[in-house]
Amino acid sequence: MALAIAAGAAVAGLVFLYLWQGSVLSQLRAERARKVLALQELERVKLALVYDVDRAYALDTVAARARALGMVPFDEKRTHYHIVGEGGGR
Amino acid sequence: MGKGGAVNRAAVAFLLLGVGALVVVGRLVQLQVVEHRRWSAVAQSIQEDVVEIPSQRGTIYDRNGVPLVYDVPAYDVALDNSLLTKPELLVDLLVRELGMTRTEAVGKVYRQGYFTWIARGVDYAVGQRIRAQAQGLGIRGLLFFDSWKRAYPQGPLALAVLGVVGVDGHGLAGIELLFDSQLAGRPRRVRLLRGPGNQVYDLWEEEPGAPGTPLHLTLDTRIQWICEKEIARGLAEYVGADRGFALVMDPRTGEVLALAHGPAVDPARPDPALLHPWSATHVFEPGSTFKALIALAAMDQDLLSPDEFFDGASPIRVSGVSVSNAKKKSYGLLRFRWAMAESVNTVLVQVAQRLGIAKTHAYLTRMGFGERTGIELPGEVAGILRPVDRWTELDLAIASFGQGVAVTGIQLATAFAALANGGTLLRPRILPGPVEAVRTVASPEACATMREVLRFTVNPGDPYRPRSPADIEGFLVAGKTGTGEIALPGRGYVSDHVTAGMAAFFPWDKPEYVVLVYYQTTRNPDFWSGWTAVPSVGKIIQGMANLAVVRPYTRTTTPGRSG
Repeated sequence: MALAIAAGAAVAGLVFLYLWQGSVLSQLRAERARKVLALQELERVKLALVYDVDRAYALDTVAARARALGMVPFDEKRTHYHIVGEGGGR
Repeated sequence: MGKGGAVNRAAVAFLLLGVGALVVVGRLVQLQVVEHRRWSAVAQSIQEDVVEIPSQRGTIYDRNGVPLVYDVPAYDVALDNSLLTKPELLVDLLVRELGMTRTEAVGKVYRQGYFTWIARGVDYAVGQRIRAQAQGLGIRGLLFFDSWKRAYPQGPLALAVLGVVGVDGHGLAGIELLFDSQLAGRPRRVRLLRGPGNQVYDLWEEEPGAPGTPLHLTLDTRIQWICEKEIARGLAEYVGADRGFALVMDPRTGEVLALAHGPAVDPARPDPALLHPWSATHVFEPGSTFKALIALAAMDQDLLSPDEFFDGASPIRVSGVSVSNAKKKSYGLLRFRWAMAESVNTVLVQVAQRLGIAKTHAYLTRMGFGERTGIELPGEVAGILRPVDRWTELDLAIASFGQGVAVTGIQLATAFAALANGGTLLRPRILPGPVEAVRTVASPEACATMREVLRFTVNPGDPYRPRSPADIEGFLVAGKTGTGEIALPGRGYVSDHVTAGMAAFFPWDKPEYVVLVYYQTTRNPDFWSGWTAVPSVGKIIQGMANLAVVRPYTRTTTPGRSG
């Protein structure tokens, strides 16, 4: 009789452990799924920010900023070249 | 009641319980075994959700790895009309955030139907704001789908070459169309297990998908930018200029470094009429720039030398038709190099007559006229070079100064690249790759002589002659200009329809760059290449120097930089 009770308790314990671990596993799976989706969203945010940075360094934007700073990059009257050696080139 | 009665009652109770258990087990077997598939599918449809995430389209880079166009995250916003609440607030929200007119917003929100697209390709930040505000205001029924949209970090740079992508993510024009299958990827498919509150419990990747393959072009963003600025300036400042293009090519490889077209295309609202690189898709009569190629053919046949004298009288008669110089100007005896510098039509007629119909036509064919160059652009046309058996003496005469033949800008630049590189016609390319020689069109010696003549054409060394705006000091520019009226069906050549251009290369002795600029007008009879294309060529070279793409090839007389 005692053996039967002990066996029953052991089985019940194992079942409890199984259910408990299963529940933890489900929680972890859900957590993982949420993180994967969040990561995906962060990747999208990153790409949107990369675009903002690229736009800020586009030639048009840089030229406008240079003009605003008084650098006047394409005024030929004020632009002269350094003298290079014979047969210079690139 | 005896012991036997209790046993009977217990037996009945057990029997009833047993029967009940059997019914329950039977029902379980029916639901879980016999009808397993059906109920499993029902459960799956309630709990699981398959989400298809569109693939990111391939990025297009320039030759230096600068991105010209790539995908950025966006939202496609739709409305489930059956779930909609607070429509009046939603109308306000759409007007405020998407810039819709009130009528447009009302039309979408109050539309009879289950599903309505509100907007597609909404900016990521805007989509986030709409979602947050809709939540805050208690507006229900809006659906947000993750998507991508093409973004142009350099603005509309090279848009006529790149083309655009439609709302379905497929290329509609340009490189986007030609390499659509390569740029488009495979969408990713993910299965989500959801709870009753829509919370995600698990996720499986059913199809990993793949992003599109990136593409690298031969274009150089800096030169492209300079050319586009210059074409935009030209169209704004040259009276009557309707459209133009500028092309920069490396004559040693056939790589197109810049291909700018104007008017510019607005990437937000691309005009289909402007979304084609007309330097490849449309033809024009090249005018006097063609003289350089006719002369090259004659030199290759040893029929012409630069210092030979010709009679530049005008007009002359060819097959009973009078052929004149520009502005009806007549010249006396002059050397060939001066005939090129002054662009004397009647001298080039004599040169072509020496060459004859068969050889002239053969050279033009070898130079690639009348056939597609094979550049990686959709819609390239072959130009018009009529069959040799239909050429008359008059056709020969007018072809010598670039009339009666129709060419594309790409063809003309490719032919000039052959002249510049010593006589090898290369396939022009916009995608990097090994050099592809098509054929030899002239000897290196003939090309060298012609290059020297074209340097003389730009700078004859006459101190009393104003310096050509294309002759930027230190860059040893050579080239030829051309201005020609445009022929219209049924009207012939029309005086206020003009094509004006210049084909140039530098440095003249060992060319590294070919620059071709053309403008067209339909409104100005006084439209000359010297006032339009020539300054533009100069400004493009100057711009390349300013951005340190190229440095002067010889000592300059200008003092050091003063800022």
